Amino acid sequence: MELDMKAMQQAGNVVGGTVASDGDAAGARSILIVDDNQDAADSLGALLSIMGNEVHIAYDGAQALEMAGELIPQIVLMDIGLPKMNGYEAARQMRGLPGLRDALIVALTGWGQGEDRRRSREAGFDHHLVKPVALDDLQSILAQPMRQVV
Amino acid sequence: MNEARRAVILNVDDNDGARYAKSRVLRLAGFEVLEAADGATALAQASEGLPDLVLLDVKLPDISGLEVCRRIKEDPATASTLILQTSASVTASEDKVRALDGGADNFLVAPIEPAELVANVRALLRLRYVEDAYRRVEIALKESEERFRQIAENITDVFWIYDFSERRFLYVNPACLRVWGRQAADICADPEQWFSAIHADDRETAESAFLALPRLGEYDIEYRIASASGPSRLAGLSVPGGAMRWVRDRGFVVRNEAGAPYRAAGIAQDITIAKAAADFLLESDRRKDEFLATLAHELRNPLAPIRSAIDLLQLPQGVPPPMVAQAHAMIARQLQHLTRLVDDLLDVARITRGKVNLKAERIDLHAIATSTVESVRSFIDERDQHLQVSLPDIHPIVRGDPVRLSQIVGNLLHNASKYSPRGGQLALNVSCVDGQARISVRDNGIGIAAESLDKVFDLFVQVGHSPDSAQDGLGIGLSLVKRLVEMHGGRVAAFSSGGGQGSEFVVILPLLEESGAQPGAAGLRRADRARGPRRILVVDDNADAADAISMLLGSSGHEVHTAYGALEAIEKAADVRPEVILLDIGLPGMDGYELARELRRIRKDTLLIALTGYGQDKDRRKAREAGFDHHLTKPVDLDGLNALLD
Repeated sequence: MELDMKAMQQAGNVVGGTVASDGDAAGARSILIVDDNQDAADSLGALLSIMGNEVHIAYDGAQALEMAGELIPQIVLMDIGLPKMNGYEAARQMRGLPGLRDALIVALTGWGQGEDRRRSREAGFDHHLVKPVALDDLQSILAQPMRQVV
Repeated sequence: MNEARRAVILNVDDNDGARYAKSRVLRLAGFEVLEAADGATALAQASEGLPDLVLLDVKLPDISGLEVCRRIKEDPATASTLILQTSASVTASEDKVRALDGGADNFLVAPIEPAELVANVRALLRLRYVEDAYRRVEIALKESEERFRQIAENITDVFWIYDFSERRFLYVNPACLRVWGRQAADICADPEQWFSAIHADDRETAESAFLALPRLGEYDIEYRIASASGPSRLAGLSVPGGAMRWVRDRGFVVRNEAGAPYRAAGIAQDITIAKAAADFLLESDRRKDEFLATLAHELRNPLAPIRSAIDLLQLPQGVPPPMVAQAHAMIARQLQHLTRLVDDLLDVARITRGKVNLKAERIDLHAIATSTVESVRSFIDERDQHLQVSLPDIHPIVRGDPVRLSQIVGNLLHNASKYSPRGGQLALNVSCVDGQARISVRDNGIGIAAESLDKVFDLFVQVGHSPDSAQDGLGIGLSLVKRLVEMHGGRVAAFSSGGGQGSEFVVILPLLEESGAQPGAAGLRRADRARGPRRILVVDDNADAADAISMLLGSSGHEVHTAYGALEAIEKAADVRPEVILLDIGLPGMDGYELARELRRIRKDTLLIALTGYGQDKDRRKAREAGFDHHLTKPVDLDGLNALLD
């Protein structure tokens, strides 16, 4: 995690070691962001946490799977091209984890052809967003009805 | 024999009356008649007048008619002349046998009825006409066959004829040796020879098309020949599968007069080159599509954090100042990455179309290496990788374009870093080998599989890249390197023991000269040792600090090497043999004073300068004791440093 925790604490959104929501129950989501481009992961993480969500970040597929199993996020925003384990495989395995069957798993990738979308659907992704993602698109994803946080 | 022409008869008889009577009968029957009264005249007339038939009486005054007959038949010029021998009845039976034995075509016994004479002459001429016609057909057939043979044996396509009832090939032309890899005689002896040469995957198709010929009448199929001999590279295209060939085989049935198929014939054309060209185009097209998808991916990737950072900065609730700074830094970084991608793209487009003109300057490759290393340093440092730069004393001087030479070295280093793990080992060596300039970039990264070594320089190829593995770049860096090296009259090759075994890229350039002592080169002249450029080793674990001071010294004309750790410092001290070492005392892993003693042991005559944040007297004393000649406190005053170097 390369998020500037100090800055976030100043923004009042950090509880303990993790970035937490500011208590807005309707809008607050627990989100796992996965991208090996650290700048991409960190900037999106900062954005979503300031918007009031609980954000966790992983930089590779294996780490993402491990964190997803522990944290049971409501939403996973995951790149496809990842070191150690690619996004397809990570998504497939996440679907098999207890508590993640109903999670919203979203592909966030530079690959945008029909074949890429088909593969991500097969791997168990709910949505396929092509980078760079417009804030409106992200917000409509976040606004979807979610299961309650475990 | 020409029917329009009247037949010529030579009438030979010593009896004037009998001769006259016969001539008259023959002329009346429409023949042209020559006459001779003795053997000698008859022989002369036969060879000069070339009669169609000689009516030859046996009894002649000089040479016997039987002898005349024998001589006419013996002479090749007159051998085909018909001879109708005649004789008086007294000796007839005896003469008849001898005459026919001597080559006469028929024999008549005198006295001869006019009608009998004419009928006999006509019968013989008719027979000759049929014989001649037959011979003409035979000759025409032979010529036609010869023409066919000349065509069939000289065309490069395989031509074949198969007989259904005999179940064998009646004929296959010699081209089958090149295309099928089989002798024609072997195929004719055993049809299995034909089919066994066909690629296992295509054999069934070929055989069933063949078997269906009598029913369907024709086929037009393409299949592969697995066992052909011959060159595997044709017209500069690599033929898929090495010696494997593609043929287009067109077969059709040949029917007898009753309309029933009794034979098949066909032409199998070698289309290997056409196939290879088509495959090449398909592959190029596929690679172009893949490149466009990769390009989109690579351009979108830096756009994503830029977009997020801007969204962040625009949040209505505001963002804490440190985060604003971070967002700015991110945008700057990703923008630089994007710019590099776009620059590379434009470059490759211009270079591919030959729109780049090289400058031709005298260039010291060591100077190029040093400045290029500085420019890629931050990229390598970000990945915690270690770069060992070795520039032996002899400087390779080449003729070239400094910007492009730097691009060659930079792309190779960038590539080595990209495909090596965090903390990986990279090495750059620039030297003169066998009268040529040699640049080697080694890494201990992911390596290259043997079958991919040739391909790594192809445009848009990223060996081992797939859409679902983490990747970076467009696969144009090495392609640029290859083109630029070739434009400099050099060559580049990749070496690797395989996946995970690391790689080495070696560039060979034509050497202008080897130099340790050329004006303009970074080397030192002995006479100038007291003043002028120095070979300096800067040692500091803070890469930014080391690089800053290196840049400063480099811009003053010194040859500068950097080391970011104690071990690297020891290696470099031995390797580059610096005249001056600037050493940061506070290095991790080894005490600075300890390191100084070690460096002093390696380089007895080197000027050793301590560079520390500590400036107290006891520090200066400790430094002196450890073997330092001078002690400078950070931040370094450039004038003070220059004074020491002079």
